[in-house]
Amino acid sequence: MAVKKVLLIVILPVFTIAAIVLFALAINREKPEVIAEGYSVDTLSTELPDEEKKAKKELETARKTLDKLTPAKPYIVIDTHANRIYMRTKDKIILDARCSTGSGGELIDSITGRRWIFDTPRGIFKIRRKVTEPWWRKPDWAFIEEGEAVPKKEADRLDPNVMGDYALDFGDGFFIHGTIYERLLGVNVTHGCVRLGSEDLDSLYKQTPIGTYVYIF
Amino acid sequence: MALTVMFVSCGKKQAESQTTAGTESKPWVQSDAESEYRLIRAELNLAEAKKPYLVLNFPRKQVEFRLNGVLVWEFPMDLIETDESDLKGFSDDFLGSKQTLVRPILEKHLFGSKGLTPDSVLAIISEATRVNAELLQRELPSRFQLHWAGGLTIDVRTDVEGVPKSKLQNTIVDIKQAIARPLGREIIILRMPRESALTLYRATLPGLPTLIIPA
Repeated sequence: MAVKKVLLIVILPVFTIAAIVLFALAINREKPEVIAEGYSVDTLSTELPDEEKKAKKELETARKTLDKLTPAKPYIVIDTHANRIYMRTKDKIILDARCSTGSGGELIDSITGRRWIFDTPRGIFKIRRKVTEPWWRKPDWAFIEEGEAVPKKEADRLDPNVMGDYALDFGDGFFIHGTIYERLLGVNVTHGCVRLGSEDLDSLYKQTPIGTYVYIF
Repeated sequence: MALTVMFVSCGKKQAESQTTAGTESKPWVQSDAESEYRLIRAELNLAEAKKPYLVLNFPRKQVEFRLNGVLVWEFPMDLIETDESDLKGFSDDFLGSKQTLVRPILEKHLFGSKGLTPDSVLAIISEATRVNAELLQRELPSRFQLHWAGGLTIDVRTDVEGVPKSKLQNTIVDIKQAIARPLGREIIILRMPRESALTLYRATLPGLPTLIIPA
């Protein structure tokens, strides 16, 4: 009986408390802090010279270096997560519109094994050229996706009706252009290009000179 | 009529840097200058990656994404159930004794989600566009959390009606925080419209560097 009492009064609560503490420790255990690959976080060499004049000069140089990264003229931002496109400066949004970006889908040609992933590229680009009344030169994947044979004649690849009134080329075969599927704006459905509604495309096209920076994230 | 016709191959081919206020008009204080210099250097390092990073801009009270030092997305810190002192606490804890300016996101937790478009509709669109219906279905976060070391947490709430993904997982997160909170760990709770929350949720992967501009 005495042993049972000791068990109930002393050992059981001790074990219960220990279990709670262990549980708390386990669920609060943190993962190590690891920065994703490709980023540099070296901030060791960050001391300014002791001499005030030199320190001021060094700080001013650093400020200018950082400031220079922001384009002096309005730039385009494409948010592939919410499917929105902006024309903006650092302080002001000039245009805000729904767009459609890459689906992330994959296509494999069962005959040749060729593979495509339909992502909108991310990073920093520039508008290289502006095109009015663009025709689409359908790449091989457009036929493979349809289950059709890839045509041998170049003319059989051309489609004048799907890209809207304008196209803005930002490199590597990617464009900001119009669409006949306006109901899908706001959804990740494209093969990598950025689709815009006709009114917004018209506005963006008129406000975008060649050389405009495009930031895609 | 001259018609400009360009053949374009659309799609996949095969295969502000506002950091701190300027101090020009202020008297020179070496320690302040060094703090600003460290912040600029930290940002320049992150900018080199040419990839987005998260910025918690406490002087402006906004959450930002920057890419190569350029502001690409921002949203005000619209606080709920928390106040200015929590912001200060969060900022101080983030910096810690070593004045750490950059920390990676350790993990994120989605509490609930509810799609806007019924699957039956998506199936029709999927058929017409030949895109996987799952890719069309975007998960709209009703509530999610971003976690950093030391139990630092940003909790984001939207007006989306949530359906818990995992009740057990949610309970564990709640218990974890209930235990952690009395130990002084900071949580900021933000209100955000669904579209902004979607960007924040989808763009913040574990490991993403977060730069803090301290309060």
